[in-house]
Parts: sequence; C-alpha cells; structure tokens
Amino acid sequence: MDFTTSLVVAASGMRAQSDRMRVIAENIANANSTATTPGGDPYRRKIATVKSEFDRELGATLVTPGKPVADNSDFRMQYDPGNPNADTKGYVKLPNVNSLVEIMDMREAQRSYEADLTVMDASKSMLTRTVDLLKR
Amino acid sequence: MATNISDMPLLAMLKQRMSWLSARQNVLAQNVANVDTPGYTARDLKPIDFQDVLHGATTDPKFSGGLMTTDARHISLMPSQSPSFGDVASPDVEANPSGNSVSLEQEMIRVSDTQAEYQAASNLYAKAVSMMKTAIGGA
Repeated sequence: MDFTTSLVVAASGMRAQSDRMRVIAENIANANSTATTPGGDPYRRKIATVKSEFDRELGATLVTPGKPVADNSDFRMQYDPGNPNADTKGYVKLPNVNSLVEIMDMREAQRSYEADLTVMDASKSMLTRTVDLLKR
Repeated sequence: MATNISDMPLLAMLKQRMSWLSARQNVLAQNVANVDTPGYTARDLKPIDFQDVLHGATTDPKFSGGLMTTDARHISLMPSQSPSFGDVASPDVEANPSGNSVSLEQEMIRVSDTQAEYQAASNLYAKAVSMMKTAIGGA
C-alpha cells in the first residue's frame, strides 16, 4: 500500500499549476506596463512551462514547473503623442498581453489544480479506509 | 497450508486486489499531474487476471506454478507473494497539438472507479476478518 506516492505526485501537479498561476498573474498585472524610456520595449509576456520528470526514489513521474519563456509576438502600438515614453512618431509600445488569453490560461490552470485536488482527496479517503481496518 | 492469516486464500486475494487498486491510483495521479505536460502519454495498469489470482490463491504450491520449499533457506515462488503490476500506455484521447493525451474527464471517472472498488475490497476484508473472529469466539 503506497498512497503517499500518489499524494506526492498530486502535490507536485498542484505546485506546477500554482507556479503557472503566478506567471499568469504577472502577465495580467503588467498588461499596461510601458517602458520608462522613449521608444523602449515594454513588459514582454511570459509563458509558463511544465515538464515531467521521473523521480527514481519515488518511482513515479512528477511534474516540475519549467523556466518561463518569453512570448516573442509583436507589441501593441498605440498612438499617444502626449505620452513621455512615445517614440518620434508618437507611438507608445504596449505589452503583448491579451487579457482574454490570460483568463483562458488561468481557467485551465484552475481546472487542472482542481483535478489534482480530487485525486488527492480520493487517495486520502482510500488511505483512511485502510487505516480503518484496524478499528474492527 | 497457509502459514499466517494474511496468506489465507480470501484475504490474499483481497490483499492483491487492494495493492492493484493502490498501484492504479498512483498511475492515475501521475496522469492527472501531467495533464499539461507536452508530449505526455496517459498510462494505465493492465487489468488483473481473475483466473490467475484465483489459481494462485486457492491451489497448493505443490500442484500449481509455485515451487515447494523443503528448507527454510529455499526461496518460495508463491504467486501471491510478489505482486508487481505493469503499466501500459493507454491514451485517453487523440493527442492534442502539444502531444498530450490525458483527458481529465476520463481520469476523474477512473479515479472514482478505483476509489469505489477499493472501498468494496476493504469492506470485504473487514467482513472476512470479523467472520474469522466469530469463528474463533471473539466478540
């Protein structure tokens, strides 16, 4: 009986998902962060990554949050000549963050987190039932 | 002859069933944790063969595949003593563009299935033990 393995695996999934949530929160918080110098690059959107890793000691495949990678898509341009950070033509570069995409990602992370939680609940109740055999 | 209580056919079968379900739960946990990992293929345990278990649990090692031990230093090959369950790749759905083939819905069904069957097996185990207690005159 080794339910601790499935608990640890589910916990690793939850950790990876909450790491992903952190990256999404960064993106949403910085959705309008412009550069501080005229014509400079604003905040660049980050994409959270996860990778699976086989844990020899545990004998199971864990999930680990990978390094966030930069999104290389184009920045949004906004005509705002009065802005001190505008370039010579009067355009300000805005981050390449699309809040709809971020909300979608957030929902997905939330759903995966809930699934991990369900697995953890199930394993825990199975473990409890095993321990309960002692009570009879 | 059974040497201790947990080697009794009924209890040994239930024990194997419970270890199988627990091993399956581990595999399912890995699937759910890797639901967003690119290139991950869903896995599942091979179903347990009831005939094999029944055969291994109810027949004397003298007549079945197990080896007889005539010395304390002999290694017994009773099938019920070394449960190891192999897992195989079993994609839930067609892999998505990132190469992941885990379907959360499928996994949730399997998890609750495993949980219910584990509950059934542990109830049967408790029942068998209480019957044994009745037989030996315990409360």
